[in-house]
Amino acid sequence: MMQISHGAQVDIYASADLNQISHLQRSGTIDSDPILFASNKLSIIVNNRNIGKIEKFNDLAGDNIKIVVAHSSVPIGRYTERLLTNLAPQSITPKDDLRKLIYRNIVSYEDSVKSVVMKTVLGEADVGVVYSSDAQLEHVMNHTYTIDIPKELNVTGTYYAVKGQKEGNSNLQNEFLTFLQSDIAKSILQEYGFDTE
Amino acid sequence: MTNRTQTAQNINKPSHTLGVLIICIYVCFIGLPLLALIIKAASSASVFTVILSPTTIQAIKLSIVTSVISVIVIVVVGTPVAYMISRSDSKILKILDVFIELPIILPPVVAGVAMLMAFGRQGIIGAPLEQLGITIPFTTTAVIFAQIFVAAPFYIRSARISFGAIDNDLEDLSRTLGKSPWYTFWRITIPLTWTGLTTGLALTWARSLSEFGATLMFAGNMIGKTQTMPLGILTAMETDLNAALSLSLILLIVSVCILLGIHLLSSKLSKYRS
Amino acid sequence: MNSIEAQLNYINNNFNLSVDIKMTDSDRLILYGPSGSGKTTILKLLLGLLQPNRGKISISGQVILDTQTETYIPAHKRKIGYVPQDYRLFPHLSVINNITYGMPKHLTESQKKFLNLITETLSINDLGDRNVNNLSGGEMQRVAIGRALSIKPNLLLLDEPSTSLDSELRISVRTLIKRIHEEFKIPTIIVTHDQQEALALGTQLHVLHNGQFIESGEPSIILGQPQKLQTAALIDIENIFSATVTERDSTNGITVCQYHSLNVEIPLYDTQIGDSIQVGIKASDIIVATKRPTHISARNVFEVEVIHIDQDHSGIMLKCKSGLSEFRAKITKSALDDLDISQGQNAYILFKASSCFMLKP
Repeated sequence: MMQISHGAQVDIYASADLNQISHLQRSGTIDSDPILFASNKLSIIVNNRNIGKIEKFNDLAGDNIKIVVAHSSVPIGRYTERLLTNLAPQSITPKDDLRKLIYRNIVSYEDSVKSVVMKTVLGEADVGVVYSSDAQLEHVMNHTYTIDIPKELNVTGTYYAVKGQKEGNSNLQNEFLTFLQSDIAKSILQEYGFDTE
Repeated sequence: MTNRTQTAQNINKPSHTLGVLIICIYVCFIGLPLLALIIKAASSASVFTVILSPTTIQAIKLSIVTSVISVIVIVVVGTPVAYMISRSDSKILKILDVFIELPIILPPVVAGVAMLMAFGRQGIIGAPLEQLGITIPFTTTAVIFAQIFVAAPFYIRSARISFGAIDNDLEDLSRTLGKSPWYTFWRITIPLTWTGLTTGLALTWARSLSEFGATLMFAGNMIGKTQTMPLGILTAMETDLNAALSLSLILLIVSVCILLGIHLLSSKLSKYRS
Repeated sequence: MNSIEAQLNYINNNFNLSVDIKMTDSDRLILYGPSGSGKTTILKLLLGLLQPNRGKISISGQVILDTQTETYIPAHKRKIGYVPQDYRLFPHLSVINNITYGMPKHLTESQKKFLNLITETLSINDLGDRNVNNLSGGEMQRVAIGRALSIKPNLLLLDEPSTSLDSELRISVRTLIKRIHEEFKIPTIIVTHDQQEALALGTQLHVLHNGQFIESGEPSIILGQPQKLQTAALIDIENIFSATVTERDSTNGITVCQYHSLNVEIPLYDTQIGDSIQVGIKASDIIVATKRPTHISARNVFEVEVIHIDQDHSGIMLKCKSGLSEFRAKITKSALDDLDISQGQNAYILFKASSCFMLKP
């Protein structure tokens, strides 16, 4: 977004962050509306060495567990935060404060979901909060397993696409946006673990 | 002035002007971005909020503490290493010399990955340490490790060159006058290599302070524990440009202070010579 | 009474050093030889900066090195004063701090007196706080000597003291070294390849060649009439020729030998008629005349042709020939002018039998 707002010329801008698109609209860099073309649920992946130790969501509050998440400067970081915030109504006493205990176990706020995935796959972290599409990748599944997120907590990431400010390609830009919403596109996205409407 | 002197001066003139021009261009190239940073950061309203926020203070504290520890370790270990390599004819030590400088050309991220492979929980050394209950990644220790790994070569290189440049014979002579090798090292070798050593110190400290890629990869990003100033700047960059600018300004000021301090220390002790 | 004894064996690549040194505090020992002969190596072995393969060093009865008993005193405990050829003053210390470098930080009264004695003897009292880099060559040397003396050494080593000085200073340095030796009574070893210096300073001389002492003894004798062929070559004896013994005259103490067509008379040696020998005579011992001399005592007078005249800083060298026999004679410039000798001219050379000496390989 930084590059575009400083003048980079693009045909299509796809972002998981509606805020950034809004910012560009407000500053006049982009003058059309975004379309939602995919969404992504969060997944919690656990490194295989923890089989038997971490089975369900509440186990995340246990001792000596290293959890890695993304920083709130990236969308998934904000979704993770939202997920943990959704926990608040669940806690009863400070001792059982699931949210506090989970936060205590977070050891790093990475700058990208890819880092979160990598560190969990490597085993440096026991647990990572990632997108479902990441969790379904083959090499990820080889080293990790997923645990269920209680439905009421899960957060969905959304992906938008919008026309950029580059002139002269208007037809192509429109075609691509239409394509994104086509069945073919949807099946490709689903193959990679994304949800489509 | 005779005619010949005038001609000599004229011959020098074009290259003198050219030299000044080149200096000006270079200074502007370096200076302009720095000046722009200072202006934009200082003019933003949030400067003081950012500077005084607990996150920033923790990042500054962490940066300073870790870089100081790293630099101390580097100097204490690196000085004898550099000295031995400079004085030795052994082929093994010559190869070691090249090996020691490797981290300079290694991309920092690669250095971080390498350290994970060695010291990570599944790492070659890390796995047995894990059995003993010692984990390094995601700790402040990991930050120091990363800094030492990438910054040490700068000091060792400078020290090695300095030690190599001074006369072995002077050290020998000191011994004939009844002074032990240890005394000779402190009273003869160090004073004569002081400038080179302090230059190496400045370089290595600067590199430590600015270390980012290896730190993020190996130590992670956690406020108060592993979020040094460079990491803080990057995380701020994604959401709040102004915060990032303010942090950058602070890091710039801290760096300048440290460099000035080292410079003063260096020249103060040069005065001590005769 | 200080005595120094050292036997040293040192091998490095193809270089093989094997020497035996004995001296007392009344000795100024000269190590004479060309560069590469091992002079500096000997100094470094004595100082402990190099280790011999085999050897023993004892100073005043104290054994500081013995490879057999594995006794080894490190360099900084040997109390040997060293003045290297390039002086090596510490550039970051003042003159006075250089001189007192080997002394304790706080001097007792007697130590201060001793320091004064050194600076007075060397005339460096007034240099005090000056920067060593601004001193003249002579001043630097005296500071270096003072620095070496300050530790009250049991042995003093001087490496090529006169080489980098001009002729005026050379002479004053020699006087200085003698004065120091007399004043402080320290056995002194001087390394040099300067004959004048060796003659002026030495009480004992070793000629060093390829790591061995090929000739040892009194400087004036060795440098005047050496016994070894190799020594003669090293000290630049200008005339060395092969001759055959033809006559031995015990009564007069003369040997006659044949040098091509010339009959040369030399002192009596233990030789037999028919022996092939090497004979040497210094160019400065050959006298030149433009008229056949008469009524003189010299046994050797020969008519020659002057085939070449060379001039250098030390005088005129005349290359003369008689048949196949060649001689070099050294005369002064003024002699050349007075005699008005020119190339191609006939002349006479004459020299005493006792100026000649036989050389053994």
